[in-house]
Formats: sequence, structure tokens, C-alpha cells
Amino acid sequence: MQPIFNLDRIRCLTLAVSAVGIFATAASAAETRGFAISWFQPAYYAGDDDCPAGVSQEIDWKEVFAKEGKTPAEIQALFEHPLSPDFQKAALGRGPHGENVCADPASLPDSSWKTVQGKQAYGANLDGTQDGTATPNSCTHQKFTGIDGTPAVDNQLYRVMGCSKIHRGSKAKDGHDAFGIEYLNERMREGLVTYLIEITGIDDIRNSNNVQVGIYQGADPLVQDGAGGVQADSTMRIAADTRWQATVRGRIKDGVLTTDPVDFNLRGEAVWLPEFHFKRAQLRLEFQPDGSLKGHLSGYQDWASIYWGMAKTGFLLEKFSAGNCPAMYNAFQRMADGDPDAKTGQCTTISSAYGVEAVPAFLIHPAETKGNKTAQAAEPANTVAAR
Amino acid sequence: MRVYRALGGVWLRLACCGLVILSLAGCGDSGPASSGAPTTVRRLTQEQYATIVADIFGSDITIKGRFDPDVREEGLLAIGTSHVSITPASLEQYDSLARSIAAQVVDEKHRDLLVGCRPASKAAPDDVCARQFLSEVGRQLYRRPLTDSEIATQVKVADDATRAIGDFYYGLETSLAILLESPRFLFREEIAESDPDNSGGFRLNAYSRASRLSFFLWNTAPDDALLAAAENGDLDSERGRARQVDRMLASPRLKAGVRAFFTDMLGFDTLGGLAKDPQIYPKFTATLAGEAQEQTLRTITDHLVTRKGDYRDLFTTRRTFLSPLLASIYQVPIQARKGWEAHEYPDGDPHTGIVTEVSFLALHSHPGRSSSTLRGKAVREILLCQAVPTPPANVNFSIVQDTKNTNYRTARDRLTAHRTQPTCAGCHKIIDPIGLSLENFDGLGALRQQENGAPIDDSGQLDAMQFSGAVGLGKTLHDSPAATACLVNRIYGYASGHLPAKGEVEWIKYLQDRFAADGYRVPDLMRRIAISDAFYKITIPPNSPTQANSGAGKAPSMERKS
Repeated sequence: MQPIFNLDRIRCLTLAVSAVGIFATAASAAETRGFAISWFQPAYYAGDDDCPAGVSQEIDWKEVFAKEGKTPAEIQALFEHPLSPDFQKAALGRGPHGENVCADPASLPDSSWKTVQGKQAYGANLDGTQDGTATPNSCTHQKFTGIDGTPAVDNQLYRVMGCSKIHRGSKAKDGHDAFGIEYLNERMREGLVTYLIEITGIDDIRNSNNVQVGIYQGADPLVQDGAGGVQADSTMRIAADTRWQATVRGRIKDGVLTTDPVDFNLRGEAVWLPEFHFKRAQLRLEFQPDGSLKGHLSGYQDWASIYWGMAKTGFLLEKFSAGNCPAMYNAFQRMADGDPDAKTGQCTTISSAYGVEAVPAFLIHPAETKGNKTAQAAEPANTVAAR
Repeated sequence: MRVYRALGGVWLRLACCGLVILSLAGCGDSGPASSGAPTTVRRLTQEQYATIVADIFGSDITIKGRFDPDVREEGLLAIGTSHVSITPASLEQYDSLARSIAAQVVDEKHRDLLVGCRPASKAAPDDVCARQFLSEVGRQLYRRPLTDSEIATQVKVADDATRAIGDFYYGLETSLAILLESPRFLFREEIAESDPDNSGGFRLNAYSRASRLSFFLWNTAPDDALLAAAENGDLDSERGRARQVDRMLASPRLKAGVRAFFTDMLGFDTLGGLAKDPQIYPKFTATLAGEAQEQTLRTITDHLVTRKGDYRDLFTTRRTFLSPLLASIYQVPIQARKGWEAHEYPDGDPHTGIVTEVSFLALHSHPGRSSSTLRGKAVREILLCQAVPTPPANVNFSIVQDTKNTNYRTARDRLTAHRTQPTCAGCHKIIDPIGLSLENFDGLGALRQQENGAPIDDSGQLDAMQFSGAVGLGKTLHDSPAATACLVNRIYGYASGHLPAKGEVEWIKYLQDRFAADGYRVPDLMRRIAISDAFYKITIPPNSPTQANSGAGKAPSMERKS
């Protein structure tokens, strides 16, 4: 005897809930599914040939101090208290005129930053070219080949940061285990920020040629499950602030969701990046057998924001994270490949990719969110919950 | 009541019912005669202990400690508590608890409110104040007035301790601690007396009646009004008892009583030790077991007490309460960010009744897989009061435990193969078909359609009834006379502390009939039991010392204090 119910049908029936939690009886033909992002970190590959000169190392401070004209005795005195304000001032004030090189990175031309030399990276073809030739929206740059063989992948953020000591993960973990990129993910899973995805208009979970994808900041912290992961099937509220909401057209083909390019913002975290400002970003997410999603978010980001996000820690970045403010800044400037400035031609954004995993969740739209296309004014408060 | 029954006629009942002052119970028949059963001595449960202390001294008195586990007998801890003692280690716990509670009661923060009188001197004995406090508290703790001798002893203890330390409150603390660790408090000691309506028969004395009544309806010791009713003889008659029972049934505390009964009946004491493989069931967390229990108890009390619903509907109801964690397991959205939210599943949803809740499905499963056998056994034993033999010692479980065997992808496949072993077939035949109807719920209680990629066949059978899935099982249990008869048996056993005795069989059958006539309303059943004479009847076992000493039908009786 076969089951008398169908789980997918039940999910469809539970799509619309009223403010008091009473189920609506009408079910539309198309399905809506909600997700909470359970994994979100820069997608930095760890290819064998990426960093032939090795990864970044802590600056040789003795050499720096010597170039600054300090005597061996003065250098010795500084090293007796390597975390002292005097040491930090001497370390950061290595600009030509004593400028703080993290606050004024352009003051010191430094091209020593090691960038990725490998040929493969995660990401998508964001500029539409096959060879990285400049376009009205992009600057000339080198292309990668995707890890899955996708040609002409753009991920210049990886090219800049992929040989940073704290951003370089192990090959065994596919590059995911570097401290510098785990940080954001861990803070997110601890409940600092929540990102939600909603796919509406699904006719067939394997193939739907016209779906709408919502990308939202969540108002509730992620819930951890007993195995240390993010709990699936939780109910999550979408944050009411429309600055952190976006919808975009997409499609599902053979179980893979892809979206059109879209600009959107998400709140980040204080150390890595307080705010994400994605431009012409695309999702490519594959439905997994357990109902979750796995894939990448690729798009351009304001590279100066990324630099300042790291550089604000100043001495900590250079002393403990093997960073080098002016060298990194200059590398960003060289490698930036998106949105050239109309006057200078300097690209202002950089292509990037983020690894994304998302577990099923029920999403509740805010009661009155102006500009939110999914929670329409005609609907009662907290109208749409989707899984 | 026996007078009414002797006079019999319908006209009398009608006339009687016309009298507003008479309760319904006072008008109806009292059912067949019951022999009663021997008295019991039951150890307080940890919950009862804590509730009593909170009732007397307030909920801000901290109780730190853990008691010896209770023993389940005949399906109930309430019966097992009649057959447990206090181990030396447990006595240390009781002693420590008693001292801790006593110290808090008389500390500077609480003494003015809880002691109720002030000594003439804080450094010297004050017999008047000590007597007042110890008499009052002792009456509540012992659930009867202390005898003059007991009071004198407690006051002397307080005096001696006061003199030794020079602190009146230390004296009170010492004497109170003794009351708190006395067997008179820790055990519910039932005392019989001669039954004036039944020559040669016995019944519980008034204070034992009050205790049995209070622990049954509220799961705590009698309050002042109930003790007063015992003192003034109100509990000697059905009418008098009805007044107290109706008062207690109208109280919010009835829910505590109903929760305690179902906690016992459904075996929720074992939920605390529930373990699941987090790799298989990552939604299982330390808090889940508690929330699962709370969900079912909320469902039950809402249906039975708040809505005065039909007990049978507990197997088919679509109404329940959800926490955010449980909602994620049931895969439904929830508005509440914490706490509880009422929820009603739509028609057609397989979540129907308490057997589709995590508290049942997860509890009666293995750590890493569901178990049709455990679930079927639980339905038989817990909900239908039917005995299932324990498996023989030499059973080969390898087939049922191997959930990755591609030849047996579903539980039904594995159990079918397992049942080919002759030693297993007999029992599995009566329990597996019940549990297999719940196979659409995994070992945690989450819905699933497939197991190892194979569709799940959720057909089931209970005796001659064949059905599909949880909905079919719920309806079958709803319509099962065994389920309602089981409830009556269990609730009587819970209230009385013993399995129905041979001489009580007709009385139990009568209760079952009346339960049906009353629309299977559990509070009505509780009322009928609580006000009856039968509930308090006592038999003295032949050749017992009590019987030998009782002479011509005279049972030992606690002297009633006027």
C-alpha cells in the first residue's frame, strides 16, 4: 500500500500562512521554497601551482626599521616590546614621509604582494568575455578556468588574496579551512548575521525556466543543530529593512538554479567586511538530495571596501596575519577588473566568488515592507512562509 | 449513597436531581460494590516533593538534589512507588535537602513571611512561637495534624537546638529539617479505619482520603481547605467529597494533576535519557526531549481540561502546540520566536494525535533508526494495557539492525525477513503491523516518504483492523474499546497506587461504562472516582499484623484531632 500523502504536496499546502498561523486551503500550482544560508565564505581554491613563491610572510621589521634609519640599538629596544605603541608606530609609519601605510596605502608603492599564478578558480564568467579583454564595464585581466571546467571564470579577489597566509586553505579541504575565510562563516553560524534565499514559481524542482529568487537579510539568528550544523526547516523572518533585500529572475535546469545578474547588499561582520555590496552578482546553486542547496555566489564587489575592512586592523593585519597594507592595496588596484572609473579608468570593483550552502527554511516576510515585491500590501501581516 | 441504592427507584433519583443543592454525583448510582484493596505506603516523587515544598514555603525556595529513580510496575510509576524504599545514599540526599530547605525558610530573607510569628528573644527558646510554626507546617508536611506527642517532640528539638547555639531560628531550622526528612513526610502513608457503612469493612481515614484525593487531582499534598474538610468530616460522605472535588476540578491545578498522570502513563520519565545519533538526527539536541514532552502534555491538557474533549480524540486530534525546534522537525512554519504556539494541522496531514508526536515516535525508536517493533509494543503496552512478552535471549537481530542492506531497504522488508525466525514470529506478528503504520516518521519523528530510496508502505493492522498510516492508526485507536478501558485502568491504578484488585473488577467495569456514557471526558472520570466510596475502600490482607491486631473489625486508625 502506498503512502496516502505526499510530502511535497504538504509543503505546497503550507506555503501560505496567516498572521495567526492558520493554513490556507488553496495551493497554487507553483511551489515556493525558502532557505537559510548555512555556509558563506570566499571561494578560494587551493591549487598546487597557485603560489610558486609561497604564501605571504610577516614583514621583516628589522629591515623596515633599518630602512627608516633606526640604529641597531633603537631596533633592539623596539623588539624588546614588539606590541608596544612605539613598535606599532614605527612599523606602520613606513611611508616616505612617515605616513601610516595602512591608512594611506597609496603613499608607498609596494608591488611585493604575492598573487595567485594558478589557472583554476571558483567563480563565474562575469564580464562575458572569453579572454578578459576590457569592456565598458571591466578592465583587462586574466581569466581562470573554473574548477568544474567552466571557461573564462572571473575571480580576481582570489587572485589577490589566494596567496595570503591566513587566506590560504589546504588542498584537502579545498581551500575552505583558512582562518581568514572561515572567520565570516563562523560568525554567521554563531548567529551574527543570517542570509536567506527564497525561490518562488517552481513548477518542477528539476526544471523551471522562470523562477523568482529573493535574497534577503534574516532577522533571526541561525539555529545550530546537534551535529554542529545549521538546523534545517527552521522558521526565519526576513529583515524589514529594504536595503538588504533583492529579487532577481532565475531558472532551474537539471536541478541547478542560476540567476540573472543583480545588485544587492548584505550586512557583513566587523572584521572581514561590515557590508557586502555586490554588483551584477549571480547565483549558481544545485539542489541536493536532502533538499539543501550548494554552489556559489559570484559578483563584483567594491575592492576598496574589502581593503579598508582588513586594513582598519592596521598593525594586527601586518603583524599577526602576514598582511602588508600598501602591497595589498596596490595588488587590489592592479587586479581590480570591474566598473572602471569614468575619469581615471581605474576599476573600482573586483570579481569574486563565495561558496554558498543553504538548508531548507520557512521564511516569513515582514508585515509592512515597502518595496518588497513578495509581501504585497494586499496580503495580511507576515503572509508568506516558504520552505 | 447506599441508602439511595437500597431505595432504588427512578422517582427518587429524579426528585433528588431536582434539588439544586445536590451535585450530579450525589444523585447518580455509585456503581457496584467494590472490595477495595490494601492500603499503600508510597514514596513521594521528586516532582511531588518539590511541589509540596513550593506550596508551603514558596517557589523561591531552592531545591537542589536528585532522588533515587522511581520504579515502574504494571505500567505505572505510581504503583512502583508503593514498593520502593530509601537507600542510605538517598537518605543523605533527603537529609541534605531538608537542611537546605529549612535553612532557607528561616533565613533573614524569608523568616518574617514564612515563620509567621516572632520570638520574644532571638537568642532564647520561645515555645509559643515554635509550637505555632511547627504545628502548622507539620500539618501540611505530614498531611494531617501532628499529634500532641509529635508536637512536643518537635518543640523540644527546637528548644534544645536554640539553647545550644543561642539562636531561636537555628532551633526552628533544626526541628523543621527533622520534619522534612521524616518518613511521615517522605512517604504517603495510608491509614485505614472501620467503615461505619460497611460492618466489618474498612476505609481510608479522612486524612488518607484527603491525600489520595489531592495527589490524584493535583499531584500534591492536600491544601488547607481539603485538610479542613478532612477534619470536619466532610470527606466522609460522597456529597461532602463532591464539594471538595468540584473545587479542585475547577482549579488551574487540575492541569498539574492531569500532566502528572499522563507523564506517568506515557513513560515520559525515560525521555530524559533519550539519545539519538547526531549524525543521523542532527535536530536532536539536549533540549528536544523536554520540549517533546511538553508538547504532548500541552496537547493533552488543552484537549482534556481546557476544551473538555473526548479522550479518544487524542489519537486523532490535529491540534497541538509547537516550539520553534519542534516546528523544524515537523517541517511547519511557526510565528513564535521562542516559547509555544498553538498549531492545527490541515486535513490530510499525517500528523494526527499524540502517537505522531516526537515524544512517542522518538522515544519508541532506536538511537539511529525508527522501530516498528518498539512503537507497536508501546501502543500495545501503554495505550492498550496489553502485555507483550520480552524477546528470547538468543534472538539474532542482525537483519533488522542492518539498515544499509540493499536487499531489505525498508523496515518492513527487514522485519519480514526477521519474522521468518520462528522464535520471533509470534510476538512480531502482534506488534510490528501497528508500528509499521508509523514508518512514515523516522526515528526522531520527522516525516519521510522513502527509506534508502524505497517507498514506504505504511499499511498497518491492529488485531482485525487493517488501516493505512498514522491517520488509520489514530482512528483505530480512537475506536478501540481497549484504549478507553486501558485509560480507566491506568487512571485508577495511578490514583490508588495499585492494580485493580479482584474485588474491584466490577467497579472498574462500571467506571468504563460510565466513562463512555460521560463522552470519555477524563475530568468526569476523575470526578467519579474521586467522590466514590469505592476509591477509599480498604481490605486488610488475611493474617496481616494489622488484621490480627484489629480484633473484631477494628482497624488501626490515626486519631482525629479536633
